[in-house]
Amino acid sequence: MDAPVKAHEFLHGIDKSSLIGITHGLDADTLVFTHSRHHIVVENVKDRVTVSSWSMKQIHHITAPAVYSPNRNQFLTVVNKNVIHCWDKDSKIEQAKKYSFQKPIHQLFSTATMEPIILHANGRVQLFSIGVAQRKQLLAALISTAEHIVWSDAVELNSHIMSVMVTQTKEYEYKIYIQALVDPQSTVETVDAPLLLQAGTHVSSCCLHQTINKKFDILMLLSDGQLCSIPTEAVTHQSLNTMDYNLHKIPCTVEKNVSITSTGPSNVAAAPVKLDNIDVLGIWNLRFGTLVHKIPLSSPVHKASQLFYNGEQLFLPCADSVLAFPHESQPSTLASVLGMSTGMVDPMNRGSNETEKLCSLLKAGDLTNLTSSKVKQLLQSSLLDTKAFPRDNLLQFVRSGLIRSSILQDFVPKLIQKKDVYLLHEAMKYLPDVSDFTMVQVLDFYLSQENGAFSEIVAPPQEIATLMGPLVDRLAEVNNNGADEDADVPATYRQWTGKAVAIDQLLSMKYNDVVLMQELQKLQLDRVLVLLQYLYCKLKHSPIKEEATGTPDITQVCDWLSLLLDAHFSSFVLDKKSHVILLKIVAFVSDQVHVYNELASLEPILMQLREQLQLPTQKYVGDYCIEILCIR
Amino acid sequence: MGDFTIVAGDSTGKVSFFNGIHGNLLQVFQANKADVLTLCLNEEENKLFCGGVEPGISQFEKVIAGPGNDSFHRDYQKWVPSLPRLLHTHDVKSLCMAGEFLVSGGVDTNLGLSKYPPKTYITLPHIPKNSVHLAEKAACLMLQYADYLEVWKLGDTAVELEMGVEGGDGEMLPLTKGAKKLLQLKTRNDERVICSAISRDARWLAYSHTSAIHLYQLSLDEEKPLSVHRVKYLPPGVQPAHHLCFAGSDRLLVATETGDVQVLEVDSVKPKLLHNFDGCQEAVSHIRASNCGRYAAVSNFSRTVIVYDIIEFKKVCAMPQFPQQVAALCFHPRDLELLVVYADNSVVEYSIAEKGYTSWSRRYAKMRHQMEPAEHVGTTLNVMYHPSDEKHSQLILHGDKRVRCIDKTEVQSRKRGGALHVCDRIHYLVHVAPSAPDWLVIVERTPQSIAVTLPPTLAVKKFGT
Repeated sequence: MDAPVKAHEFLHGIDKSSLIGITHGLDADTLVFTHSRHHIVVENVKDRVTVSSWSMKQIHHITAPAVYSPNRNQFLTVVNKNVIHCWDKDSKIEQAKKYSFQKPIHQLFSTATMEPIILHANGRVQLFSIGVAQRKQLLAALISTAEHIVWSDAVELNSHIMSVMVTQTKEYEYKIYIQALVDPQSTVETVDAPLLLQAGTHVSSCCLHQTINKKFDILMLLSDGQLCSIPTEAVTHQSLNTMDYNLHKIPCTVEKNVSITSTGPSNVAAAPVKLDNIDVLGIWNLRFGTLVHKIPLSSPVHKASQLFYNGEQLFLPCADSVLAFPHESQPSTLASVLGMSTGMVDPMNRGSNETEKLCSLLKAGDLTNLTSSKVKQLLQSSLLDTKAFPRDNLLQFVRSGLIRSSILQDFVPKLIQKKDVYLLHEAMKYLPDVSDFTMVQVLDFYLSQENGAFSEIVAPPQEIATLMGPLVDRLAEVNNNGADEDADVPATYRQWTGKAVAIDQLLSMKYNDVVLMQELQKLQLDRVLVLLQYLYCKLKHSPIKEEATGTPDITQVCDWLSLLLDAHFSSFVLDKKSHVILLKIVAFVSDQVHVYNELASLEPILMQLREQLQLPTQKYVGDYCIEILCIR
Repeated sequence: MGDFTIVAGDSTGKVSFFNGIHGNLLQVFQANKADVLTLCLNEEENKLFCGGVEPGISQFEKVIAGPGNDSFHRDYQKWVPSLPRLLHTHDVKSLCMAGEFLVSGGVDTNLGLSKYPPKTYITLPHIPKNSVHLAEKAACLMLQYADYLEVWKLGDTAVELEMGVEGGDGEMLPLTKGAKKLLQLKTRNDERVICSAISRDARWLAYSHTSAIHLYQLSLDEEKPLSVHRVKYLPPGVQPAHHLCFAGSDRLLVATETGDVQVLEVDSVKPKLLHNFDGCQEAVSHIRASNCGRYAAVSNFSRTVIVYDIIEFKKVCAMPQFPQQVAALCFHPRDLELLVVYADNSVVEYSIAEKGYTSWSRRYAKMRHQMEPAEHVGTTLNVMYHPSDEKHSQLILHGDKRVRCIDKTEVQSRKRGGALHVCDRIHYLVHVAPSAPDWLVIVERTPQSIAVTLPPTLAVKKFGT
């Protein structure tokens, strides 16, 4: 799995919201950081050393990120909105050549082989040489005065440069502009397309994303968490509806200062986003819609954050520094994303039909086309469906053993929320690898429920006889004789047939004693007392060996009693209610120990009888004896 | 340590390494589950051993990752946990190095010797020496405890084993008469008994504590009740003893603290101090008297063995010194020969008359390593001639775990296979002595009997307990 690891810090001590931009540097290992409106630093991010740095005079303000042009072998930046400074990497910035423009410049873009690009504030783009030559001329505005640029980028294609720009009006109307520049003629081809968004949503962040086919898409994260992927080829002069290009929904809260960047053909990174009320940097797989990795962010992210990816590291301005998270994009496969529990949600909600199809396959016994990821995805969509609860389908999933342990932690709370005792019982019965946490969660739920809730669970007749036989017999005896109730058997247990079967199913499951004891400590004391009393009854009537599946034998009951006593020892000491039942248990165990010791002493006599030998006379060997010693 | 690293063990079972120069903590290891009681460092200071309130001994080794051993590269030195050693059953309270061996001792009373590599574990049980004495003629056994003595009459059986008719090994014979305790003699003011002795006919009993010797006359006539008469007036020159031994019927040999050997003529009224053989200021380790009562062999911790004539009060001879300590010695029942076993289990037979080793002894010295089994045979506690062998050609040696019988004639005829016989089913042997032809008295202290007297081991919490 491509996973970021420990973060490194750059530009420690910079002011909040003072980072203007991060751009590519002299080579693959260097980056250009422009910050505090006066400073430009070139860092080797691999060796983590500063290569060069320049500072402007206080009267000048840098208004666009500095870029390095390999074509010109120079650094360029925009000062005071309409002056471009160009200087060599070994010279001082005061010696930079300055070009003053009539109109303000929005940003400069650098390309690998071609000239830098100038994006004017009015939306027009120009090659640097042409822009400089025509700097005294007025260019016709591309965007209206009501619009302002919210995001822009430029990439070099085979024969031309493509500039992409998104504008916004005060009424949150968005428009995409794509301009293509062909060198040396500098012919500009422009297309623009208004964006149609759902009411109340707006664009939070954009980035360019290169697909596996070497084509470029515009990734657009909307404020409601929808992630759109609009191919640049789709941008014509017609309106674009974002619903047509919705890719996934990121299942987290999108912050106002969120920034996204593409980290490869199949991944996109976003930060900051809230997952479980924690600010994180999340990396999602675009193909499978799964969360590949998340990194909790301990420091607050800058208001105007800018997530930048250089192919090896992700850079994010946080607090008073820029954090770099190593991240190497790798080809994603289905196997690499299997097991991811948190993924993007399919907004089209196509799961219900798929579920029906799957169930029909299950009924037909055709399991060849099933994959665990598919089942997982369908199950998740079924659980998230608030309108209808596909109980029969889920029951079929459970009985077919298709629910994996990775999804059980979501599945069980949902069933508890629905108070579906029968489905829970079936899940505990059929599903393997139930964690101790889940087991105690279910046990707590069982103990909290009334007996009537278990009416659906019916034990087979022979099982009832095994489980509840002694209790039922005792009850019949009490009723016939008109005697008082047996003090050791609470009245509720006599109606516990369904509940007892469910609890017995849990008691007979496999567990890890260390983990289970920690989980049992979370149970409330009143429920612990009920369980203790039930275990006491089971101790008195449990079979020596397990006679039926789902029925705990006496060893398992003893282990549960021991675990419960260990888990709530201090509570039992302090709580007087528990003393009575504990004393009964002590008395019963003492009797049992005595009985078993006597039985153990019978074993050698029985062995002798079996071998038809004469019973030996008791021979007392004291401290003194005479015996034959052979020294060989 | 030499580099001023300070190692500390605490009551939580942690072993901490501190830089003594800067006072900072370098490393911490959870060595034990409970208190650390002892730490030991080897001579090279690259191995540390740790013992405490649990049976295991933890080991830490210094690993040097850097190129040098100077102060600059000291930061590259790390201590890492190494192979633990398990020799004991209870707490380990003391550790020390003896050469390449780690010597450990603790609550289980055993002395453990271990080294690695190769993995070698030797456990030496604590068996008290010279605490049992047999009066062969009277079939009485005297047991020496810390502050009292007990005299027991041995039991009997009706089964007579004929020579050449063997019963099964370990077969119990029915007792016609059980052992009977005749006497328990407590010291005054709980004085600690240093040594004791009983004469072969059980008429005389003597013991010594730190300040004086006490002599008693016993009357064991079965028709009369037991009578014990204390001899009150001992000669003034008699000193407290380290070893006591009766020679013949009326002489008591007293080995004093200074290595002197005093010859006392016992008498119920007025014992006499007949002679005092000056020692060499070394404590006596063994003292034995010949069956005829004329000679006494004394060995001391300077590894010398001297034979005295206690009738004419002269030194007869001194045996050549061996590099090892004497482990056991005994006189030949008939001839004037002395059998000595050394700490390395080598056996020599010395002719007092010829003042040289016997021919058997020389031959056995050459064959011994071929005869002895390869494994560790333990130390020898006592040696004796076979009581039923009229030719006195069989030797019985015993350690704490095995009885060995060496057939001298087999050695003489160079029959390697049949010269050595071993019995190792009795643990731990405190005393083995012949009481009559074909009879051996063996006093055993079983490991179980030791274990029940020990305090409980560290309780380990298990779930459900």
